[in-house]
Amino acid sequence: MDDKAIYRALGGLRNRITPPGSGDPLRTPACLTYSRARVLALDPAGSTAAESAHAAECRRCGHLLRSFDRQLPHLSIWTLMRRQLDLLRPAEADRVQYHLGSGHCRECTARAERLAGVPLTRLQLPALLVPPHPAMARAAVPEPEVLVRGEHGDLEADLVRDGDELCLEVRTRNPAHRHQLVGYAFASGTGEALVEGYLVLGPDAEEWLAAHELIDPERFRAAAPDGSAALEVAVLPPACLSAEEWRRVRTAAPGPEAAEEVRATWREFCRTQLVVGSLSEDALETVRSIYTSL
Amino acid sequence: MDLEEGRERPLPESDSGLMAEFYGCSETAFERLADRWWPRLFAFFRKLGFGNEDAEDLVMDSLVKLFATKERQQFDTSQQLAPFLFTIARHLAVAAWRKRPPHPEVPWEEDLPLVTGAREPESELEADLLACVWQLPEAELTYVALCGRHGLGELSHNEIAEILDKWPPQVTQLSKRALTLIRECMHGKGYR
Repeated sequence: MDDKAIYRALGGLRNRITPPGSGDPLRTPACLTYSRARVLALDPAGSTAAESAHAAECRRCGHLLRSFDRQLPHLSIWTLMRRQLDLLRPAEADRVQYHLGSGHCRECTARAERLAGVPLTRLQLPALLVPPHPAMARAAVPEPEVLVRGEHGDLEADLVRDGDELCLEVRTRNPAHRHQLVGYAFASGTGEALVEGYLVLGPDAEEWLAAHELIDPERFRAAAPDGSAALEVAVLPPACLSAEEWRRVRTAAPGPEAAEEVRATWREFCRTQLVVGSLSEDALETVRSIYTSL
Repeated sequence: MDLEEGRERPLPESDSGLMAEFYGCSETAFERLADRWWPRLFAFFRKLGFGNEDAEDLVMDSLVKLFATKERQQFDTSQQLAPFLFTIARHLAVAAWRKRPPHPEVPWEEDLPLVTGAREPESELEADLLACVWQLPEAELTYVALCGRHGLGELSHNEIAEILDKWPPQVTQLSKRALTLIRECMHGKGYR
C-alpha cells in the first residue's frame, strides 16, 4: 500500500466522519446550563430540589457538576488577603466579584473568614531588583546586598542579592510561629502571583525563627522583566489553602538533598497538622505524603 | 474588523466574539459556543480512539475547562479559539490515557451514527486503517486526528503546531513519521 493510497483512505474516512450540525445530543430541556452548573458546583446548597433530583439521575448533569467541582480554580490566598486589606486592583476585583459575588463560592468565603486578621507583610520592590546577568553581577556587586527589607507585626523579611542569586529570608522572634507555614509571592501590578513559594519557620541563631529560599533569578527575570513587583509574605493558616495551593506546598517541600535541619522543620510542621487534624481529607493526604517523603 | 485598544475586535458571532461576549457578561454566549463545539470535540476524541461515553465525558470536561478560563480571563479573545480549545482537549486526552489506556478494539461503526448522522457500511480497509492510526504514539495520533489534509481532522499545520507546541517544520516531520508508521502497520496487516 503506497502513500497515495493511505492518504486516499484517510481522506475517505475524514469525509465520512466530519461532524454535521451542532448541539449537545445529551442535553434535555431539564438539563443544567454550564453557568448554572458552575454556580451549583461553587455553592451546592443553592441547588433547588428539582435540580438535585435531576442531577442525581442524569449522567450528563452529574458529570458536569463533578467536572466543575474538580476543575474550577479558586481564589488565591494572596487575593483573599489583598481583598481584606482593600488592595485589590480593578481586574482582580472583577475576578473576586465573579467568584464570590455572583458565584457565591462557599469554599472561598470560608477561607476568607478564616484569614480575617492574618497580617500580610507587603514590600514594594525597587526597580533595580531584577538581577543583572551573571557576568555583570560578579563585576558590579561583589558583596551581598539587602535589596529590600520590611516588617509587619512580628514578621520580618529581607531580599538579598548575592552576585546573580536572590535569597529571601523570613524571620520572627515570636515563638508561636515555630514550625509555621510561611508563604511568599512576588505579585505583579495586577495582583497576579509571578513567583510564589512556601517555607516553614525553624530555629535559627539567637532565638530567632527563620526560613530561607534561593529564588532563581532567571525565573524572576522572565516573570517580571521590568522589576515592577511587590513581595508579599505571610504566616499562612494551613486551613486557608486551596487544593491547588496544597499541590504547590507539596512541590515546595524539601527533597532528600536538602539540609537535615530544613527537613526536620518540615517534619514538625507536618506532624502538627496531622495531630491537629483540622484540615480537609485531601489536604491531610498531601501532608501525609510530604511527611513520608521526609 | 474594528480596532479596540490596538487589538482587532472579533466578529460578534465568531468563536472569539462569543468568548468576548461570555467574558463580558453574556453566559448564553457560552451555551451557543458549547453547542457549536460539541460535535467537533466529540469527533476529535472518537478519532483518538475513545469510546462513546468516554468521548462524551471528555467533551464536557473540555467545555468546563474552557468555561473555567473566565475565572482568570486566560483566553485572549483576539486569538483563534480552535487551537486553544484543541490544546485543552489534547491535554485531557493525555491525562485520560495516563489513567487508562484507550481501547482500540472499540468498534467504530457501532457509534458512528452520532458523528455522521447516517450509518454507512464500514470496509475492512477502513477498520484496519483506524486500528493502525490508534497504534500511533500520542503526538502522531493527535496530528492525524487534527490534520485536514493528511489526516482525519480539519486543521492546518500551523494550527496543529500551536496545539502540539512545536514549530511548523516539526509538524511536517511528525506527518512523515505518522505516514511511515501507518504504512508499516498496514503492510503488517497484509496490504501491499
